Amino acid sequence: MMMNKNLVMNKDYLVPLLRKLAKTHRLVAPVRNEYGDTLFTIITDLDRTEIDLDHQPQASLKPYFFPQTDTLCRYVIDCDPATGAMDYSFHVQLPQNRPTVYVGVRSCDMFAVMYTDMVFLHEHERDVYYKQRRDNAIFITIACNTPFDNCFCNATRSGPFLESGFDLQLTDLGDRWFVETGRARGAGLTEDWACFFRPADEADKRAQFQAELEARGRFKQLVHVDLASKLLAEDKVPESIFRDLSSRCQDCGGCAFICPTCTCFNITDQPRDEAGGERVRSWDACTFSGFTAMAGGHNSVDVETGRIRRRFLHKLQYDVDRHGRPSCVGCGRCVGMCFGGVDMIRFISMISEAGENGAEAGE
Amino acid sequence: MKNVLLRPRISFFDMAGCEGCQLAILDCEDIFLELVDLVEIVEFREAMSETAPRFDIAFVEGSIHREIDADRLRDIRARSRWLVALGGCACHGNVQARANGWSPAENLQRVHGLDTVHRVQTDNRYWPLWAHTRVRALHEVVKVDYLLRGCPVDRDEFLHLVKRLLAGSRPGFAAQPVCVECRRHGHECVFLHGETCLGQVTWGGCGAVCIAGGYRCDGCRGLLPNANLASHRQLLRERGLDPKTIDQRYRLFLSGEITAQDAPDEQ
Repeated sequence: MMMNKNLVMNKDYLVPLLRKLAKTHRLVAPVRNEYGDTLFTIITDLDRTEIDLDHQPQASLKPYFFPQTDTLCRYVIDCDPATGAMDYSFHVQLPQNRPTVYVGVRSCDMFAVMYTDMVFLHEHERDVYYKQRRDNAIFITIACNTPFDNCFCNATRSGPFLESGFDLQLTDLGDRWFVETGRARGAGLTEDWACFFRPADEADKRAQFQAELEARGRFKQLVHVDLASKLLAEDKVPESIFRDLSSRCQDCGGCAFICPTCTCFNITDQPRDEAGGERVRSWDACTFSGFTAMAGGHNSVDVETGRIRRRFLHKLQYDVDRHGRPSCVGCGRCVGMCFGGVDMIRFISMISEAGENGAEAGE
Repeated sequence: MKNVLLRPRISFFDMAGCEGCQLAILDCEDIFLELVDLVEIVEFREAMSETAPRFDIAFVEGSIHREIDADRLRDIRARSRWLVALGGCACHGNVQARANGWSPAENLQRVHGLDTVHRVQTDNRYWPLWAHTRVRALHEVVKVDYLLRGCPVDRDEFLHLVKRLLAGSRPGFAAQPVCVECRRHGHECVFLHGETCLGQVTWGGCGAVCIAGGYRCDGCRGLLPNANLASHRQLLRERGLDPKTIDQRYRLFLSGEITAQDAPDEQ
């Protein structure tokens, strides 16, 4: 395996580097808009846009790879007037996106993209729409020196510093960026624009190591993710917790939509006229009571407590069984999103408290 | 392939309502000519004077108050293959279902004052208008095949339904809250700037036009199945609304669907 290269770049060089990259790539970076919201935005004019690397983007990168509504194909119905036989033909519409550089991606969001890779690019069941967008992507991530208030990526082992997955990982060392190359494209980028970088010396490496150690000590949330997975696997979670959380869930779907690793979707045909239409994929959420509704109106899951159970067990139990790690990346976005307080931190602290008190399941 | 002989015949009827939904449909004027190409509109009081004995799709707007309206609706049902409830009044009673909380005489007194009560009791042309005990949605009288929600209806949903029926498939509307619409269009949550909203418990599909226009959701599209009103009520309480105001907010559009427990305090 190729070793990651360690380089150093002056703080002032980031924007000039991006300006060079913008000639051949589309740029997506967090930008603070006039309402004070930091969101990933397509940057068309670097000179008049200020990239905001100080705040956590409110939405993840998910919409750039898996849009909320995505036209998959057009379908045409040919009807033979003589026999009345119908013939369907499908015309796939691949997304037409330019190679894109995603700048200022936090470790949790980078990790979430790697998780969605497992969902959409699993072995030979590859999703062409996702793959098209994913192949065109270069990630310049930022390691979190100072985790935000609701972050707990140390507990989910998806941050605050990454070791792979990114193309370039930047670490803020005060007056300079410590640059690590991850994938080959990132290494190529540092060779193409070698004038911006210089090799890192021992002092830089030590400073970066120090920054990582300090970052790990700065988390404000103590979340026992592994304990939660263990308790769920042992079926030691009292039913009353799900009842309590369900009674507060207002079914708005906010947690699933803001979650960078939630990938449930629905596919609908939208007829344009009698001769055809479009097939559209749109986000769905397992917390919606209609999520498991079947033809004929039967719902196989108890809508009262089943939907909340489904969401948390998927993240903390089923994915641990399948992939060996929870699919929560600890970004903490669902914490600020839910009006009823049904979020990952609350759920995990509830079940770990119940586990400490020795509560048995099914009470 | 257009089969001109088999153009479905569609018709529009109005019960107790403001007829705004029919106007919303006439507002599809940019594609209305194309639509008329595909269907044959055989009865539409607001746009034409002809009538027809039978039709494929009947759009019925408004709620049912008097028994003669119910009879008329049963007649429409018998003449039509599909019956679509057009708009909030037809789907769940809308604003006028507020009257369900009180007796007819009390209603009249609230609206027109005490001195009209005497006149109502003596004038036999006037009283039948008030004598209904309950404002009913269409499905309380006949079988309704599809619901087009909203006050007024969303033209895109109307077109979706017509296209689906023309294509021979069943139209479907996802039971998702207005919150989904806000996220789809990137609107900031109104709760974040101190306003309160009924979006979490209300059927989506409207494109969140009210929030886009700087207002809040008042729930005109009706209550979602399995809406968690207890939790939503708690949230509104936390945001400083007193119980009476909350009841008024619920009762504005959702009177036909909520129960006395959901909004207990309003007198």
